[in-house]
Amino acid sequence: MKLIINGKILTYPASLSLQSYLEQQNIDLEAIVVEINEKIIKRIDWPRVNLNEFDVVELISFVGGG
Amino acid sequence: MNDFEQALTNYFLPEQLAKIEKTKIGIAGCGGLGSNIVVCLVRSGFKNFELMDFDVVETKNLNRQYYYLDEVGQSKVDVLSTRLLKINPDLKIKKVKAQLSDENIASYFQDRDIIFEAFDNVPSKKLIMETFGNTNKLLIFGCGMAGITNQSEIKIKKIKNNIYMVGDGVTCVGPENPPLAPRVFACASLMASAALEAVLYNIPA
Repeated sequence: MKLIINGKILTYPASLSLQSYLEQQNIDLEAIVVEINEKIIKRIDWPRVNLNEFDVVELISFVGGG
Repeated sequence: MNDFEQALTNYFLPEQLAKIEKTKIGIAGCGGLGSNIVVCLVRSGFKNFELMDFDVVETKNLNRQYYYLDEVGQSKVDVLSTRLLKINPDLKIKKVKAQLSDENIASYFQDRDIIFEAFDNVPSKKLIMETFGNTNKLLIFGCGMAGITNQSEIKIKKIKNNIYMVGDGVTCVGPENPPLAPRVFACASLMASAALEAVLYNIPA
């Protein structure tokens, strides 16, 4: 299945939950918010959201300071 | 219309001022970003604010936050409100002296058109985005404004129709990158600028 992640087209095995996708990435899960097809997905919902072909996924990273 | 508002007619058309004045603004955090953003907004004619900060002014804030030495120990929200009313005495300010949490966020910012995320910590930034990201409110986040060098440029990035991130996106506050007035002001000013543009050009449509 093809996913568009932060603007790049990448191929992954079919049937992948958002949670398992994120855990495979080398990113700080405490510092990101996830958006799929222009909808923000709350962290509590990550395990029950499945990724589907051509989903547009944005991983929005935050850094501290303000 | 008071003298300050009368003077704004030198710079804005009446219909532009009307749009600005009716916009309800939320400022989540009145530190380095929030205290400077809100001054930009008041000087640009905005009048209706919800200011949130649980903290008092500390001497270590004075390098970048819009407070004075003789205000140390006083509530940031109180001091800032007094200051803003000296610019425009006819502001409507809702003061919130509370720390934002999962449990209480539903009580705040509900009627706001624009929310500025101006907290220093990442969990609070995420909480604002996860709570209000799928509403039609315009959200403007500060993200990466620490340090001395400008190797990473501070700019406005549109994430989606109603969400802007302003900053360099990478420079976290830490021992090597302290929060300093020049880049914090730059970020705060661009955040206010993004809001003014959005209000006057009807973004999000």
